[in-house]
Amino acid sequence: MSNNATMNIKSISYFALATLFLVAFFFLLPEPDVEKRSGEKKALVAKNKILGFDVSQNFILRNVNLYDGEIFHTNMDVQVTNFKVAQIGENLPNDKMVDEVDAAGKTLIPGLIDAHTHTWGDALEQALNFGVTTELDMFTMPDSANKHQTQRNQIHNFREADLFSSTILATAPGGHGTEYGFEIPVLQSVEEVEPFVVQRIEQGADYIKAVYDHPENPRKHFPSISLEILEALSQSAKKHNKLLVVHVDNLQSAKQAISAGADGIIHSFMDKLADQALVDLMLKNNAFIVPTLLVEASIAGLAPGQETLAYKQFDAFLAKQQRQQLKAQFADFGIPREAFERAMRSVSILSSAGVAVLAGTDAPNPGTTHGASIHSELALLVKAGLTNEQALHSATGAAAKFFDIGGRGNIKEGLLASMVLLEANPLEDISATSKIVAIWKNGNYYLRKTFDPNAKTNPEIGPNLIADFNNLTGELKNISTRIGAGIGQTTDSYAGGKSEVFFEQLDTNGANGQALKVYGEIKPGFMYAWSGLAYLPGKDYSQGADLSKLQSISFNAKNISNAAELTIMLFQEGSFQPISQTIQLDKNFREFEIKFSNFKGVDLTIVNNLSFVVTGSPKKFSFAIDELRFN
Amino acid sequence: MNSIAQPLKPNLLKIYLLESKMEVLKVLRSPGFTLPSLLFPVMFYLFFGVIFTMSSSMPTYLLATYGTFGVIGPALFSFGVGVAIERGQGWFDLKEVSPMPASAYVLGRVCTTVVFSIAIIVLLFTLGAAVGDVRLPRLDWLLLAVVLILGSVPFCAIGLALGLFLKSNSAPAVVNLIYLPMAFLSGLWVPISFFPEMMQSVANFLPAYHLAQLGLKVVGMDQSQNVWIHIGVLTGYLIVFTGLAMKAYYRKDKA
Repeated sequence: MSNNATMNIKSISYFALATLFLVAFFFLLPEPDVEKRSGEKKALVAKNKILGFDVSQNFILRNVNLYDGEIFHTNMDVQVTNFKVAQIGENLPNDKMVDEVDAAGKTLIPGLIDAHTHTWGDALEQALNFGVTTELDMFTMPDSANKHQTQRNQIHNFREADLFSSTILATAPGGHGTEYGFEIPVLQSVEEVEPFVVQRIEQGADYIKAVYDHPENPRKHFPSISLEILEALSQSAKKHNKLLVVHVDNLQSAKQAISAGADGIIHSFMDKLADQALVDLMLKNNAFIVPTLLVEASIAGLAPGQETLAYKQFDAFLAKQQRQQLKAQFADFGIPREAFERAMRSVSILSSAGVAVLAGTDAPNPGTTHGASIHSELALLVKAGLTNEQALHSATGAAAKFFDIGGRGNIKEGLLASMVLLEANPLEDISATSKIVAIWKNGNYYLRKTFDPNAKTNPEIGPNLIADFNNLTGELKNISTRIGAGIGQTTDSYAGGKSEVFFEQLDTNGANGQALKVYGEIKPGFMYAWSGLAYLPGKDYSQGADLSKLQSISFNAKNISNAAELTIMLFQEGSFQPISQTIQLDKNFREFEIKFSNFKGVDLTIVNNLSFVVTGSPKKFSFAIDELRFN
Repeated sequence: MNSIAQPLKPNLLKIYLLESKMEVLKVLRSPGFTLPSLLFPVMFYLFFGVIFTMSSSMPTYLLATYGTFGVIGPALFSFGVGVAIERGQGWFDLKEVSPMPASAYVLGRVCTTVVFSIAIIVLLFTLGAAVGDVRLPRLDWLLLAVVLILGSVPFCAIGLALGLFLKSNSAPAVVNLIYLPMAFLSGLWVPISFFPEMMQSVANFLPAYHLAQLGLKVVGMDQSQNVWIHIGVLTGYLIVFTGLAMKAYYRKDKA
């Protein structure tokens, strides 16, 4: 008994000791030291820059000038807790002792909304890199859009802008939108409209976009859907509770689109000034306009991309591809400068009459790029006559009023904290939007990506033989070359076409040994049918080579049958639009030399594909090529 | 001296206490269990949370997740492996025929788990505070500890069910096969937000993810899901695996 009791006492005392130890332990654990913290407090921004990222997202921004998407407030505190704006007010208490950032003199605006983009590839990362946290895409393939549309609902979608998209646009056979090489469904009759709209919505369209040009337009670039189809689109979109936005390029089309029930029109028009009838119509229907002044300046040959490139504060943040897009120009459409002035004045007329204007860049059309260009577009809108506040509103709160995009474009309590801290106040000078101090996406500090504008990423290539096609072995589908990833077959089957191509070795009975015979068939199925060989000068398809030190590419070639015209297409990284040259082949081998200087507007440091193809009408063809070399 | 009457009135509380104490002592005296259970989370935390840390808040974040990793280990192993081995040795049958209630057996092991959880928490918190510069309000320290300890209970149930289903020689391997991938996929080693989207959705099905999120909620770094989702999922796991364990237990009786 006594033994048992001592054991119990012993156990109890062990237990008591352990408890005591635990209590003491928890009292010894360090608490946040308020005094010390405020002493060593540095800007969160600076800390994040050094550390790369920060898992903790809770902080208070003190004494900041706040434009919340609608209204400007001076000297506010904004508290962000768990990715959301928890509180906005003056002298907010800091109970939880979170990080504080003194932002006195700086201005906080909502993450910007670009209301007109075409989004694929790295677009959404490029956009976020310049403070655009939402892109409203106006035509991309569902495959490129869907993943990002799902991602936008994730709270930790920190590394890219949120995407909303119309996916495929509604256009006529051969109409605007069909020229980019994607096979897309087109509208020919009113009956097709409802199934078309249903299919768009099933494929993830957040709204419907149509292209319309009225039948009497004297300057017709493309066929257009009829007014009846446009009206049917409007009814169908309404029925499914989706917005209808319509691409127009002239005043009459704009009027008809609004009358037909469009919620908004895209692009300002260059043919005539906006008149009172349009103003009344738009006000009555509460319709908006996305003028996309940048791309109109670009069409008029004003090279607006150069101005964007000239922003010193953008230098470090523009990706190479973006510089390329900004430098690019449209072919000369012969549109005079006055036409662009008209577009500007129309925006001014509409805006001062109270019609809602939304900022959109139409990136990545020539002269525009994702992210960076929204700042230039805002500057153009102000130049057109909008006040600084109207311009800022057009890229924030205004878009949120028309498009069903949640609280994006606003900084309000309870909303996700997507916001941009600016060095100066854009309500005093709109160019302040480009002077970015910090970007938060969903409450997460976004470390901006930097790029060295002079960085040479691709290997420089000197003059050399590429391939002589002698002694080829194995199955002739991929032929290795002395430079680059080799030669492969290319046809429109990548884009849904049906053309075929085959390789065969051909004896030339001459000094040059064997040559490569390329034969196949151009078959209908895709509007730009092609078939031929593709030479990849870089490491692989995605990574190009630097050909800037070279003069030309030369080769021997002859037409065997139906290949009198050979097209040489040069592709650059990140672009699907080739720059082409056409040569005439003879029945006998002849040497050709294609000077790279003849490819206009090309960045020769990022060439990833040189294709030699036969295009055009359906036919069986055959040609031979030999002694391919860089000079 | 009424020596015959005494065994007829067993003191239940005493049985529970004794069984718990013996269980704890037994485990403390088997370094093969003690050392890995204590050292793994501590070492991992030291490396990834403190030494190779990439940001000032990493140590705090990983304190919660390695804490989770630490407490579910003993729960899974003490039950999963321990029970399976004792069944293999016949020790389990011997205990079953003793007058001790089955609940004492379970409680004894829960006690072991709690003791280990506390030990791991003390070690991790010490490391975090001393080396990782983690600073939390006193109540948060305490709350984190409580969440982790209570949160280990569903894993006891999972372990028990495994221990009753598995053969003694396969149990260690199987439990490891569940423990380690689950820990990784739940974001216990690397913050969940670094994972691709799909893996993040998978984590929603894992109990360890939900316990980690509860812990992270205490320090304000969770994924902002509703606290009741986490509690609900953990309770769900507790109920389902307790049921499975009971089923396994009674099936054995019949066999």
